[in-house]
Amino acid sequence: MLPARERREPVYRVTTEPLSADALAEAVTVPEAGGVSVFLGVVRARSAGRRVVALEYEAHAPMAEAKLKEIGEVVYRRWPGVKQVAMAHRIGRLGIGEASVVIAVSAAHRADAFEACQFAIDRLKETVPIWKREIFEDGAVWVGLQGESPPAG
Amino acid sequence: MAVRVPVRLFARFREAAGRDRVEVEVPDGATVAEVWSALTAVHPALARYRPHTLFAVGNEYVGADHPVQPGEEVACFPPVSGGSPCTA
Repeated sequence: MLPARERREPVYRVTTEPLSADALAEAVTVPEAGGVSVFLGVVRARSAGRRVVALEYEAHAPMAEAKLKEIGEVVYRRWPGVKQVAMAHRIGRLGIGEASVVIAVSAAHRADAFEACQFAIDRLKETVPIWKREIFEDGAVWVGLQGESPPAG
Repeated sequence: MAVRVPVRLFARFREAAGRDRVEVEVPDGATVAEVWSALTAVHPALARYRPHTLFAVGNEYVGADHPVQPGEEVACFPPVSGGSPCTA
């Protein structure tokens, strides 16, 4: 792992602005990197057979950015070949095909970049305080609980 | 001595309470669980979500047994669902 000063300013961002995969790829492209893996999560037109009009994302923004940073730090520890990680999540209302999340990982060799990128998106979905609501033509539903009526208690 | 604890609500919880910030009064040294009880006394619509509730103080997850320190803000929210669309 390189000392922090040898890395670029890390990107761990929650934003209402449209995301740019190119910008994040560029942010992790350092001279020591031989491969850059970019994951782009986009809004899909269907969910459980229903036609989705849009997704709305909401975040506990400062905590979400702190958790993104934690994920990046775990990646650096677990994959010493990783050179730079960048993670950005968009919040607000997103239309079909718009990017909700971008993760870019550079590494000396591609295997580390692929693995670390997959780890980062999996971990993000578990630990980063962001919520999404699916907007349908005839209603909306928060994602993350099984159905609208959780067990009493 | 009673203290006032600021509580932030997100997503479904925010909608159920009809607001994103609430202040509750609890005994000094109260735990997050006691904050939740005070919160649901004011906003009973939240009570049914308890089995699915996550708590945070500052930028860290905490358990319901966390003693709330003076000046701390407690966030209450449902399971997270960020990232790209889920597999459903």
